[in-house]
Amino acid sequence: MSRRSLLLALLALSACGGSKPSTPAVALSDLLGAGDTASFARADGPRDFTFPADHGPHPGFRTEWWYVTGNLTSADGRPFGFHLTLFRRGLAQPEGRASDLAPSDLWMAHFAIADGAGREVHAHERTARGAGGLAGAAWSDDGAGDSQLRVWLEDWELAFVDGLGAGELPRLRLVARAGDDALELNLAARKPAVLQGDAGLSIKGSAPGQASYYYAVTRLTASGSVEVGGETFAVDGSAWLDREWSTSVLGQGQVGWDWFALQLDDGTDVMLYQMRLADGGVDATSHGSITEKDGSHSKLEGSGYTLRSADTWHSPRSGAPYPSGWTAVVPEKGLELRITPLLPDQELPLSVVYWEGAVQIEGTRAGRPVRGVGFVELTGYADIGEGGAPR
Amino acid sequence: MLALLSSAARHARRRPGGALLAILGVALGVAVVLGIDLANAASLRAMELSVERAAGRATHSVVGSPDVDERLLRTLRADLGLRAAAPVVERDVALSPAESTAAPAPDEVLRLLGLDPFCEAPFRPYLASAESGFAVDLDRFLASPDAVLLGAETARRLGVEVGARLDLRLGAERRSVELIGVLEPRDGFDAELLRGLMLCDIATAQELTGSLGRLTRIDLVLDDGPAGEAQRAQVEALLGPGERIESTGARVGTLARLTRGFRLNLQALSLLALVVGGFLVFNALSFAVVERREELGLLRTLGATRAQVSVAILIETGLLAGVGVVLGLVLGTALGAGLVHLVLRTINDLYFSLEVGASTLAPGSLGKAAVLGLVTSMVAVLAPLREALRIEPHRALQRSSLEQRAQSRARLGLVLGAVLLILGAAVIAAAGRSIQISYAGLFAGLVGAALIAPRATDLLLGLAEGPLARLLGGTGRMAARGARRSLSRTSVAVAALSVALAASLGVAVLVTSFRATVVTWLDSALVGDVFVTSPSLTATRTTGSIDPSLVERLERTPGIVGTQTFRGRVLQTSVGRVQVIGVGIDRARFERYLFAEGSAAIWDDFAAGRACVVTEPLAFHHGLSLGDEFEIESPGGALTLPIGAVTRDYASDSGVVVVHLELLNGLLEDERLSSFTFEVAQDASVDAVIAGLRERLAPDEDLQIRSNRSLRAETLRVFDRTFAVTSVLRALTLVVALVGVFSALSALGLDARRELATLRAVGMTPGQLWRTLSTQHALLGAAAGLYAIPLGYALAWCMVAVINRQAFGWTLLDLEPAYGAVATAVVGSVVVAVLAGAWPARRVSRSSVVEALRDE
Amino acid sequence: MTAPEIHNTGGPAAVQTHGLVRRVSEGGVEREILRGVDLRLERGEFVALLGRSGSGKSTLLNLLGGLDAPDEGEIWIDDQRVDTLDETARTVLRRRRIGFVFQAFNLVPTLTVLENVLLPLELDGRADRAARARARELLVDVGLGDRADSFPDRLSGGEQQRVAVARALAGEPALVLADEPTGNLDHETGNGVLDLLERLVRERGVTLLVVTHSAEAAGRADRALEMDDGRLVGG
Repeated sequence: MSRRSLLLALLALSACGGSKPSTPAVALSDLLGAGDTASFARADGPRDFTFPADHGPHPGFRTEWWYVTGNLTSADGRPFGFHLTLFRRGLAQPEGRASDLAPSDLWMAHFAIADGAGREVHAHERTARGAGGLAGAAWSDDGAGDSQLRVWLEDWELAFVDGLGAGELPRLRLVARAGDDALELNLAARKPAVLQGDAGLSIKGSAPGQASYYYAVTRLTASGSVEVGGETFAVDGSAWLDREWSTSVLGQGQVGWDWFALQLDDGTDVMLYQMRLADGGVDATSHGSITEKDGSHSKLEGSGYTLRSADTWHSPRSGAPYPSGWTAVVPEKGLELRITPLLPDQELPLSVVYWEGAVQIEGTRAGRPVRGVGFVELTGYADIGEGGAPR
Repeated sequence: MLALLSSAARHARRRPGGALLAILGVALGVAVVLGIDLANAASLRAMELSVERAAGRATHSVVGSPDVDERLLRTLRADLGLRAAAPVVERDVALSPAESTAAPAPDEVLRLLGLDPFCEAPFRPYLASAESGFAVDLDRFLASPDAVLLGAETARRLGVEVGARLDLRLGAERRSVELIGVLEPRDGFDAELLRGLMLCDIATAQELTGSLGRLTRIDLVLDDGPAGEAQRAQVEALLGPGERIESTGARVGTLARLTRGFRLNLQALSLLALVVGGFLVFNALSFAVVERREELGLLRTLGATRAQVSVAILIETGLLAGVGVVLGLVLGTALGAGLVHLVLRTINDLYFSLEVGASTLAPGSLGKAAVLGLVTSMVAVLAPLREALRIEPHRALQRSSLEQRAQSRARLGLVLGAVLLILGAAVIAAAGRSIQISYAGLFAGLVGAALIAPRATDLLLGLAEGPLARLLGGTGRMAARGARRSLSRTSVAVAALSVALAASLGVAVLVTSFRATVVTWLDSALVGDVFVTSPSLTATRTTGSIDPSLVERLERTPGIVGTQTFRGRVLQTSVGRVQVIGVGIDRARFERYLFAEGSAAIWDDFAAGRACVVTEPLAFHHGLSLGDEFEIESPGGALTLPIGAVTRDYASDSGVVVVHLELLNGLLEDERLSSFTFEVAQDASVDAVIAGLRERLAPDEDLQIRSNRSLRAETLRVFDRTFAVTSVLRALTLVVALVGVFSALSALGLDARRELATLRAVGMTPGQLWRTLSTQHALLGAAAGLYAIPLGYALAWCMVAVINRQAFGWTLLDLEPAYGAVATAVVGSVVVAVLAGAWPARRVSRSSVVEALRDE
Repeated sequence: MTAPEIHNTGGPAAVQTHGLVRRVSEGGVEREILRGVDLRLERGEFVALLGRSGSGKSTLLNLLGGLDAPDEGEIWIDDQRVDTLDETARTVLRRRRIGFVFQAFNLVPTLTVLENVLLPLELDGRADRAARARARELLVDVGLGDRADSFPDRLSGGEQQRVAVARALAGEPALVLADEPTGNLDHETGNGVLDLLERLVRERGVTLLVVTHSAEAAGRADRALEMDDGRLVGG
C-alpha cells in the first residue's frame, strides 16, 4: 500500500486554494486501513452501542466518517442532490506533544451539490489537521446537562443539536460553503438510528477485524437553502446519515463497492451494498437492511437480493466505466425497483475519484407501485491499480 | 450570375498565381495573429510561473512583534473563510557535527521552516512540486515530534541520508531530529529555493523553537484591487496587539509588477500582429480585385449589373478568404505550437520544467484570427470593387484613371491617418489608468500612421528621384518613378512592412530600456551584497527592530567594505499614511539613486535632515513636485520638510518617503534598525562573508542573512531568458511582413509583365532590368524602413512614458537609443524588400519577351 | 552613325536569313511555325509581310528583332550573324540597330513621352544633350512637339503610336520592325501613322519590315512578301 500517493494528494492539493486537483487519484483503500494500524483498535466483535456517545468520535479507531446524503427540491420543483462527508483518519500520535497544532487526526471533507436543472455536480474537497481548532469532532456542554456535538472542518460543519439519546430522533444542522456553492440545512430524523449488519458490526471480508461498526439514520427530513453558482433556492427534502468507524476495511482482492441508500414513498428505507472482488465476483459478506416505516428493521443477506446494472456511463475525465441505472430485486420483501441517476455524471473529480450521486426510483412492493429517491456510491472504478498506487 | 461565377473560377484557374497569392496572404495574416497570440499566452504563463516559483504566491503576511498568536490561523481560515492562509514558523538553526565525527567543522546554519502541508498548496509550489523521491511518510512527518526533511542537494552536501539523526543548536538549546525524507527538486530553480532549507511540520517547528502557541507569520494571498482591500480590512480587524498585516515586500511586489509590465508588452505585440495581419489580408485581397479591373470593366460592358458583379466578386472573395482562414488557422496553430515549444525549451534549459503547452488553444484566439481574416478580406475588396464599378466600363482599361484614384485614395488616407493619429494621441492622453483604453488609442494611432505611410513613402521616393537619376541615370529615375507609381499596388504592403518594422523597433527599444531599467534598479534596490534583517521580516523595507550595536560588531567581518543601514515606519503625513524610510548611507551611495527630478546635489541638506526624497509613484499619485513642503507626524512631533528630489522606484505602487536615518531616529525617539546591508569586496566570496557573519552572531541572535549578489544575478537571468522570447516574436512579425511584401511584389511583377517586356524589347538587357527592379524594391524598403524609425520610437515612447506610467505610476529610464535595432530596421527593410523582389524580378527578367508581349 | 547610303543591289544586305526553322511544342506535340525561311532585305528597302493569322509572320519578326532565337538556320543583320549571340548581346544589338513598333503601342506608362522616346538611348548610355535635342526634333517630326512632358495615358491611340514610331527611330537604327502598327487604330488614323512611318524611314534610309493585313499598306511597300504555313511565298 502506498502512503506516498496520499501524501501527494494531501500536500499538492490540500484544497486550500480551491484549485483543481492535478495529481493522480487516491484509492479509497488508502484512506481506509492503510499505513500503521497496529496501534488502533479493530472492529473484531459485537459491541454495545451507547448514545449519545457513539454519535461522537472514536479516536481508538483509525478511520471514521460522518456521511450525510440527500435529495432536495426547490419550491419550483428544481431537484438537487447533496452530499457532505467528514472523514477522520487517526494518526499514531506519540503521547505528550507540546504543540497545540500537533495533530492526532487528519480530516478530509467532501461537499457536493448535484444540480438537476444545471445538469452538473459542484464538488469540493478540503483537508486539515485535527488540531488548533481547524478540524475535529467535539462535544460541548450547554451547562444544562444537554450536550451538543460539533463535527467540522474549518467552516464546513455538521452539528448534532438534540435528540441524541438512545431511541431518540436526532436533529442536526449542516452548514457548508465553497465559493458560490453553499448548503444550510436543518435535519430532523423520522426514525431512530438503526444498527446495520449484525447489531452494528458490519463484516466486510473474511479476515479477522476486517469489519466496521456501522449505524445509520435512514430518514431525516431536510429543509433549508441551497446556493449553486451564486443563486439561492429554498429547499425541502429527505436525507440519510451514515456513521461508520473501523481500522481495516478493504482486504486483499476487494476493489470497491456499490452502495445504495433508497428511500421509498411508502416509508420504507433500503440499504444494499455489494463488495466487488478483483475477479469480478461479489464478496459473500455483502449485506443490506430494510427499515420499515415504523422504524423496525431487518438485515438482508447478500444472497437475499440482486442488483443488475442497466447501462454503463464512461467518465470523460477519468475514463472510468461506471454502471448507470440498476434493477434491484429483494424477493423475500416483494421489492422490485428501477433506479435511475438524477444525472449520469455525478463522478466527484477529487483526490479520491468516485461516483456519489442522487438517484430516482420507480418500482413495486408486493405488486403495489412505489416511487422514491436515494443515493448511490460507486468506488473502485476509476483507473487505479490494485492497492491504489497511481502511476 | 452562374456565368459570372464560372468566369471568376476560370480566372482563378487560368491565373493560379493570383488566387494563390490571395489565399497565402489571408492565411499568413490569420496565422501571425493566431500564432503570436498562442505564443504570448504561453510565454506569459511561463513568466508568471517563474515569478511565482521564485517568490511564492503570498501577497501579504500577518506578522507580529515578535510573532503571531496561532489561534489567528483558525479565525482566518474557519471564521473568515480565507482559504489562502498558511502558518509559518521560521528560524535559523545551527547544525552541530554528529558527536561521533571527530573533525570540528564549523556549524552549518540551516533555515528551519515549519509549515502546515494542508495549507501550503497556494504558497510554496516548489515544495509540492518536488515530486520524485518524495516518498515521505506523511503520518510521521505530522505525528513524530522530531521529523524533518531536507533538499536532496543539501542532504548530499551534509553527507546525511534518510534515517540519519541530526543535532541542532537553537540558541542555547540542543535538539536531535531525524531526517525522514529528502525533497528531490524538479530542476535548478527549485534546487535554489530548497538550498539550506530544513522543512518540518508547523507543530514540530513550534516545539523545536520553543515557540508554543506562536507563529512567525501567517502568509496570505489576497485578491487584487478593491476586493483585496476589503479582505485586508477584515483581516486587520481580527489582529491582536502587536500584530499587523504587511504586503510581502519589495522583491515579490517588484516581480509581480514586472510581470504586469511584461504582460502589457506582450499585449502590445499581439496588437501589432493584429495590425500587420490585417494589412496582409487587406493587401492580398484588394490586389486580387485591382488585378481584375479590366475583366470587371468588360463584364460591365457586356451588360452585367453592378450588383451582379459585386455579388460574384464577394462570393469569390468569401471562398478565397475562407480557404485562407482555414489554412491560416492550421498554420497559426502549428506556428503557435512551435513558438510555445521554443519558448518553453528556452526556459526549461535554464530553469524549470513547465507544462504550459497543449491545452492553450484558446477559442478566443482562434475566433479573433478568423474574424480578422474574413472581415478584413471583405473590407479589402469593397473599396477597389466600388471603384472598379463606378468608373465607366471602357475606362476601367485605362491606367491613368487607376492612378488618379490611387492618388486621391492616398490623399484620403493622409487625411484619415492624420485624424486617427490625433485621435489616438488624445485617447491615450485621456485614458487615465485604463490600459485597455490606452491600447485602443495606440491601435488608432498605429492604423493612422499606417494610413499615412503610402503618402510619406511617396514623399521620400520623390526626394530620392533626383539624386538617383544623377547617380544611376535613366534606370535610377525609372526605378524611383516605378516605385512611386507602384505605390497604388504596393502601398498596403509597404505600410505593413513599415508597421512591422516599427513594431520590431519599438519592442526592441522597449526591451532594451526595460532591461537597462531592471539592471539599474536592481543595483539601487538590492543595495549591497549581503542583506541582513530580522527573521519575521521578509521585505527590504520593514519596521523591525535591530540594535545598531549589532551592526558595529558584524561589520568587522573580513571582506566587508561598506555598510548601509535602514529603518522603516509607516507614519501619518500630509498625504496620508506613508512608509517613511530612514537611510544611513553615505554620499556615494546617495549619488547612485535614480533621480527623476532634482539631483544628488541636495545631499548636504538631506544628510542634515533639512530635505526629504520621495519616490516617483508617491509624487505621481499625490501631485507632489520638487520644493513642495512635506509634513511628517511622529511621536516626537510634526516636522515639515521640503522635497529635495524625486527618485525612480519600482518597489512600491504607493510610494515611500526617504529621509536620513538620524532624522527618523529623532522623530521616533530611539535608535533601532530594520535592516542593513554590507558591501563585499569584489574579490571576496559573498558566501564566505555570510558564513563569517553567522559565526559572529550570538546563539540567541536570530537574523535572516541573504546574498543580494546572487539574487541580482538570478533575477537578471530570468529576465534575459524571458525577453529572448520577445526577439523570437519580433523576428516572426518581420518574417511575415517579408512574405507579405514578397507576395505584393510578385503580384506586381505579374501585373507589370507586359510593361517590362516592352522595356526588354526596346533594348533593356536582363541585367539592367533586374537592377532597375531591385533598385525599385530597395527604394520601397528603404522608405518603409526610414518611416519606421520615428514610428517605432513613438511607439516605444508611448509604451514607456505614457502607458506604463499611467498604469503603474512609474516610468522606465530614458529610452535607450537601440542603434542596433535602428540599423537593423533600415538595412533589414532594404534587404527584405530586395530579397522579396529578387525572385519576381529574376523571373520577369528571364521570361520570354515574346510571350509577355503576346499576353493580352 | 552617319546618314546611311542607299544600296539597291550589291553590297551586304540589311537582313538575310537562311533556312530559319522555329518550333513550338504544344501539349507534347512539336509544331513547326517557321519551316525554313530564306529572306533578304536590302538596305533602305520598305517591305510588307502579308499572311493569314498564325502563318508565322510575328514569329519571323521576333526572330529578326532578336526577341526570340531560331531552332535552325542563320540570321544576318548587315554583315553580323545574330542568331548565335547571347541574350545580352542580342539586346544590345537590338537597341542600337533595330527599332520596334507594336500593334499595342507598348509605351512605358511611368515615363513621359520624351522619356519614352529617349529610352533606347538612355539604356545605351547615349542620352546626352544632343540626343535629347534630336528626340525633341523627332517629336516635332511626328507632330507631338508640345506633348513631350505628357504621360502616355493622356494621349490618344494614334498619338501613342506616333510616339512609338519616334521611339523606334530615336536610336538611329538600321532596321525598323513594325508588327501590325495600325491594327489598333481606325482607318484614317492608321493611314496617318503609316504615312509618318514611311516618310521618316525613307528620309533616313532605314530598312522597314511591316507585318500587315492591309493590302493598302502593302501597296505602299517596295515589295510585298507573303507567308503561308511557315514558308515565304511570292514576293
